[in-house]
Amino acid sequence: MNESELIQAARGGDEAAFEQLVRLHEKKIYNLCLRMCGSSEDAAEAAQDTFLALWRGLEGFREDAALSTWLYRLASNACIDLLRRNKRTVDGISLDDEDVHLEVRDRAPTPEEHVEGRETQRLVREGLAALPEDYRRVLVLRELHQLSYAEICEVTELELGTVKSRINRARLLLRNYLAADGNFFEKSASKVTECNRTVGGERNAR
Amino acid sequence: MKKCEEFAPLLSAYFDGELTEEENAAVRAHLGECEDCRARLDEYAQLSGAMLALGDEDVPEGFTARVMDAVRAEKAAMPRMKKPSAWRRWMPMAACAAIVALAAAVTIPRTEMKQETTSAAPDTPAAQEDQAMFSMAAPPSDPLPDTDAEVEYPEQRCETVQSSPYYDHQLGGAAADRAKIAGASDGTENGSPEQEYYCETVPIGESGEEGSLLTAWYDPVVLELYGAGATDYVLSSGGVKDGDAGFYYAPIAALRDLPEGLGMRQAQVETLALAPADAEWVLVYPNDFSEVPQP
Repeated sequence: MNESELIQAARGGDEAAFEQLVRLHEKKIYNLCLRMCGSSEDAAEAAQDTFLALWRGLEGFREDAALSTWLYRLASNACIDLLRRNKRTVDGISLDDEDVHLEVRDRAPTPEEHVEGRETQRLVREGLAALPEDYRRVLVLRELHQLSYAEICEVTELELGTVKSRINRARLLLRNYLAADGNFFEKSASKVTECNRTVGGERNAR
Repeated sequence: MKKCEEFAPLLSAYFDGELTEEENAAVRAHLGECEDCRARLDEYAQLSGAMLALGDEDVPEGFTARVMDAVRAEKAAMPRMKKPSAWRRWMPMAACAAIVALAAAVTIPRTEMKQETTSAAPDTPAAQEDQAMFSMAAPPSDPLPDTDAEVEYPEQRCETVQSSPYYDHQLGGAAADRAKIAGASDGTENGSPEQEYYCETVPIGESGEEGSLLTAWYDPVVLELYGAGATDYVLSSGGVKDGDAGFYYAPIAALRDLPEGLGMRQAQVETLALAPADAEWVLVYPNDFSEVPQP
């Protein structure tokens, strides 16, 4: 069965078809939740909430929208919901504040993290976790799921201008967070040349 | 440096290839002469590479099975109630609730309840005119054992009101027709020509508090509440998290008088207006990041 047939069958209460839909999308959704929530436990909970919401809403789903778009929306809402419930949000940052800075956590890297790459990954994960949820959501959708701005608008139901400015600010915040470490950009300097090949306004050129 | 200030907000979208050709050309020209902006762009590229380097992780073992367990639990908790046995368990409390339900029925303006006949099977005049939306008063604090299979259905005691515009809105078109036909066939598959109606209440909150939940057809109505802070509003109004999937039980009274900045679709507002007076709760899905829909 293709996805459309699976959706039809699942709507009729076919659990096996629904299970297949879950398997098709679970990795993508779990990883979105992982980057949104930070911990694998929370990610699993949010991802499960996502698929339950899918099950509940399947009857109302109109296939003129992509299932993955809808799943992204359910998942990011589930994550934000869970984060708020657990009160793990970063307080005190106004979304309208152009000059926002995240506080860099004062924690020494463990010996293992000194292994090449680990320290960088720790920093990025911490930087992401320190972003306000609304910023993190758009940046994760853009960078890790490679969604276009138009697709992000669909997922978040935000205006294009808002998406554009949130991604911009999210990058600035994360950049400031990583720069505050003092090592990040120098350490990655060797990658600059390589990365230069990917920039130039052509990433989304179709 | 004034130019940098102008271009800084564009760099991110430039990096993503989301600018117009004209904007692209302008940014490119600026980059040619501005080292700072080139450095910033390099940092974005490093940042992007570092994020991608996080990679994908495997889904935890047993995840799919847990989801399916939850789905089955969900089905058990909020069944479509197409089988009589599910209803029979609620029968004793339904008898009490019927008094309240009937009293409420009197107050419903029947003249406003015009509805095209869409059901295939129903014989009762009310069923011919109406899609069913039910409400019941407080259920018992303890679930009752499913022992008495001989109890008759108290379908006449259920209160019918006009179909939920939201329900139609949510399903729409062919899906709505399918649901109506499915609903109609439930009555005949048990050998009865009559449409069978089932009232239903759902326990609210983990503490076991219960109340009357607005339901339509065989399912609870789910209203979407739009606008920033929708979740907080539901909670501050005494709403209770459903425990999964981002749904909340919200007091209906709180949804009738929403503060500025929050709202629902017109069809949902109409649904609420038709809810019987004794319906206390409704399932809500707060859409915190959406614009409030305009009528």
